[in-house]
Amino acid sequence: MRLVRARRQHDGWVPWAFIFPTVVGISAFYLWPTLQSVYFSFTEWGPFGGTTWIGAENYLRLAGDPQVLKALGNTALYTAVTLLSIPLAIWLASLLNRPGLRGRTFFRILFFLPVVTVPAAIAMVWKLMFNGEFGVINYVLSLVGITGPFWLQTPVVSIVAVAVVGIWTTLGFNMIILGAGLQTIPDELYEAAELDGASPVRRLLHVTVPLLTPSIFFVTTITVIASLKVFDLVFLMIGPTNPVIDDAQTLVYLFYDEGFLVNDKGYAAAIGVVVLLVIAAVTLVQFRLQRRWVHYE
Amino acid sequence: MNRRGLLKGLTGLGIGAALVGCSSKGGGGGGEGDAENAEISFGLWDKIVADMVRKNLPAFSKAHPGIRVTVQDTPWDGYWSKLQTQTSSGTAPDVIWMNGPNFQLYAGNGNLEPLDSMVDDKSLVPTNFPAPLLDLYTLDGKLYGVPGVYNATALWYNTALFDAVGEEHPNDSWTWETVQSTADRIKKNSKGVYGIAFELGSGEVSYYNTIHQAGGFVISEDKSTSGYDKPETIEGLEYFASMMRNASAPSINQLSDQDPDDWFGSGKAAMLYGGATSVATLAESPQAKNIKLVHLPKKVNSDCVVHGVGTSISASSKNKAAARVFCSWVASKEFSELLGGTGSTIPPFAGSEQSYLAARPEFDLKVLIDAAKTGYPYPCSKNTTAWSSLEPKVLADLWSGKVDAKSAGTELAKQMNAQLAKG
Repeated sequence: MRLVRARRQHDGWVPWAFIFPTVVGISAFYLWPTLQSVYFSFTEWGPFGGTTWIGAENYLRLAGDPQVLKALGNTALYTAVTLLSIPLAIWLASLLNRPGLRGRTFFRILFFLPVVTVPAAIAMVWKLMFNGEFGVINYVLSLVGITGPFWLQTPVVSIVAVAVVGIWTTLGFNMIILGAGLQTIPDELYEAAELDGASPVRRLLHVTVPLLTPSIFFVTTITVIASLKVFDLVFLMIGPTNPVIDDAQTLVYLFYDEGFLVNDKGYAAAIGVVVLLVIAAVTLVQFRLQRRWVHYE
Repeated sequence: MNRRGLLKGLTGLGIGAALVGCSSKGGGGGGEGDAENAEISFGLWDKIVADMVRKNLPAFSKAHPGIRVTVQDTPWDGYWSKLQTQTSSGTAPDVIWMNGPNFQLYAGNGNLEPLDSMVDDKSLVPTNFPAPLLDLYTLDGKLYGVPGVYNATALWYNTALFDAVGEEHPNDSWTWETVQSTADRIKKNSKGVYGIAFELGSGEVSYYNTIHQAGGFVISEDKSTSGYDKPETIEGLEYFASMMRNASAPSINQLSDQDPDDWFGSGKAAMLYGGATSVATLAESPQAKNIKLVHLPKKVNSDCVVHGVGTSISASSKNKAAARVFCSWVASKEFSELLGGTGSTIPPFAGSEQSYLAARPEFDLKVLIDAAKTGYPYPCSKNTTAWSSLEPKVLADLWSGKVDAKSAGTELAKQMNAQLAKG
């Protein structure tokens, strides 16, 4: 190792010029509003602007608000369930990756369709399927003698039902990413494993999964972030007039409720900041943990 | 994928919720502009009405060639959050649709222009409109909205289901007890048919009516306290709860999965509490030919709640004079007739109902129009949604039979008073 590094040439303003458009965009549409939200969370903010500084009052109220804790629990539950889409996506991506599979593009499109479908349409169709009395899900269950619940009106069950739809909508995206990861695994490794007498299951667990870890880490992080921010599916499938909305609301739904129904926008901003901190903390932990299980070549 | 690529992927995502805000105060800042030469915008949430206005703008332009109008329709789900943001930044449309729950929030914060001068110059004649709607859009003695399409509630019934079990059809002399006992008998005597269905997601076509009919109230006259802990109000809630307890009506879970309009329209319920907003659904339902409606049953009185749209002018409008010219068209009989012609909701101008009644000759829709004459305005305050969003949540335990009407009402009053105390 040389002790004296060659002095790097000064690149001047050229690289800055390259990143300038992105920096402007991110600052204007992400950084600045985020900073504003943080500022507003320390204020009392009327429905049409006009803010008064009230210090940490919103946060003190938030700490003692049972609704926040409940929403945090619901969000965690939703996130935990949607993470099941990852093993599912690995399995489906491996199936699609089998050599000699016919109609691969067709299947890929089929699985990717939910990702590009409008959430409102998805929510409508699933709502019909989850219908307690006339829904197809309970009809199928009744054929095997099970009386299904009112999926969207039963506490806990409702948020899990919404999370199932969450899995369905993110599966396609995760499959594409993981499928791309699968393509980078050299065939020789599988051949070698086969010669050593490894069964298909062991090949999956000892060759595919370890070599996929960078992609798995990526989709896990993205899925967790998206799940912690879930709002649209809860709003559309459960909504403000459902009898169990209090048992099913997620953090961002609570933010909407406080900001646009109660019109307490300062408190809503504080909830927004909490969402930001939760996501930042969880993501940080994931980046810390990746050293233990993610193998970069 | 390498580590670098991964980090790059993450920075491209917006992490966390950002709330774009404007710290400018809403209200004021507008100007009169030129009454006959201006560009104005009209914001509303109903696509049918928006299309009707667009189609008939040429007629308005003929009389006022210098006023150019753009119609902006925003779907209901996003209308209020969008309008609030626009209003905060002074970019709201010149003419906007209001509803009961939001009207005082806007007018009370100085975001709407009083329409007194229109009343003075007779371009808006209040006596042409239903009294409850004028009350609804009056704050501190000033009128802020041209009454628009409105909703009243009636009792709908299915003649075929009544005849099948030999029950007498409802008429104007019916009381609450008649409805309750009839619903119970129909449920017991027919296979798989409920006696009655009603919407409990909000009170507009259900308990807001019965609370008043029993002599109670949702919110006090001075908008300072909740009426939900008053015995009469609780009676109005109990009326519906009792029919759910003995299963004359579908359960709250069933009603939440399946609109009451659908229960009734598919012949699974013999009666329905429904308003003008149900007309289109019911007219296209399989049971349409068996459906009739009568005035609501009586307790102390049989008044119904009247809720309607108000067409208002933004305080931030730079062209208030032209906006008033446009609003005087909205306040005309001709405009109401066009509204009625869509057949979607009741036109507000007295004597313009002919086109509405003709659009749906199969129903006796005059019942709704007559009901509105003796109706009373939709209950609201300066921050209505803060407490009205509590209703379905707190009352859910009553509808599902977990608690009785008294404890549900008391609990709701407690939470509602806490919200009202915040001002």
